[in-house]
Amino acid sequence: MSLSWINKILKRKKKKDVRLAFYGEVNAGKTTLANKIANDLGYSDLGAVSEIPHETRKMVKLENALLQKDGYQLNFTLMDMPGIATTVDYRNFVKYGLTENEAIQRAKEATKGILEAIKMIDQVDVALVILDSTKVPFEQVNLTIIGNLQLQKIPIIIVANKTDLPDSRPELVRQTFADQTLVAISAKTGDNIEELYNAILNTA
Amino acid sequence: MKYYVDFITKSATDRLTTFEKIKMIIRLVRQNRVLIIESGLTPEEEAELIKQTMMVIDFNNFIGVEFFNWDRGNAQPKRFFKKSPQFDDNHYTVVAPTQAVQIIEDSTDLLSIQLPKSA
Repeated sequence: MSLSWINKILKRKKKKDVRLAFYGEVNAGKTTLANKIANDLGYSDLGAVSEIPHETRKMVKLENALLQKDGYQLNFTLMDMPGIATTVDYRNFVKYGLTENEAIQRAKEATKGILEAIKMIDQVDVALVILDSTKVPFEQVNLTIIGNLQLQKIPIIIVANKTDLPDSRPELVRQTFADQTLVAISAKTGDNIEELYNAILNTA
Repeated sequence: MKYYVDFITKSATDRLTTFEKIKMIIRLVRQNRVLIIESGLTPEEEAELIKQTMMVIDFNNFIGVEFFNWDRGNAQPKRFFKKSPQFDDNHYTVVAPTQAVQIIEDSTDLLSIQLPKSA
């Protein structure tokens, strides 16, 4: 996808400061993508990535980031949100080798993070909703996030992530969210990341 | 553990504010009730449900909720579009304690839930 000529004319010289938020369920790859974008723009990683759920328990910001492409530049603040869930069970963390105390502390922080992420929904300008394309896309949490973003009239880009995995079914995500801007990527390998940048520039 | 299934009519929740409605839902779910709510929840109410749930999780007796939306009389394949913000009364929401349910199948036209969840 390339920027449309009209966007180029309208936006070529324009400088924006856009709050770009990453939403999604737990372990969808939000922080992996945030790190990839930060690295591409010359910054270090924003956060740690872990197979243990709820690794990101506080919103992490990258402020004054600058994305330049095809003569258009976008100033933005990247907001990596904690993953949203409807359940937090510390016993799940113990399975990954955490002590009970560590697991309970993580669970407490996770509940606060989820609250923060939901409260911030009306504070963002553009939302990337990151989905794990190896799972069914109509998980209730995804639908709730998208429904609330739509109510706030916040532009949404659906990101079908993890296309590097054999079970990835980006076509199912595309079918489910047929009316939305959607990009299938692998945040881990960087596959198709340029298309995502184009989508961000077109949407912001 | 015993779980009960409660059907909640639209008239029972119509007069409630979002906060009151969600507060009632959480109170019942914490009493091991699986709720089937006529006319369902709006996206805002769903967000409020998650918020209030996070505030009352105690990690021992209550670890959260599961909820699902369901439309009746609508054969469209994508549940997402049937619960878009253009909210209508033609759907209902199931809300259950997390411990009580396990999704057996969640496809475009079938939601199958096992209750209670096996250990």
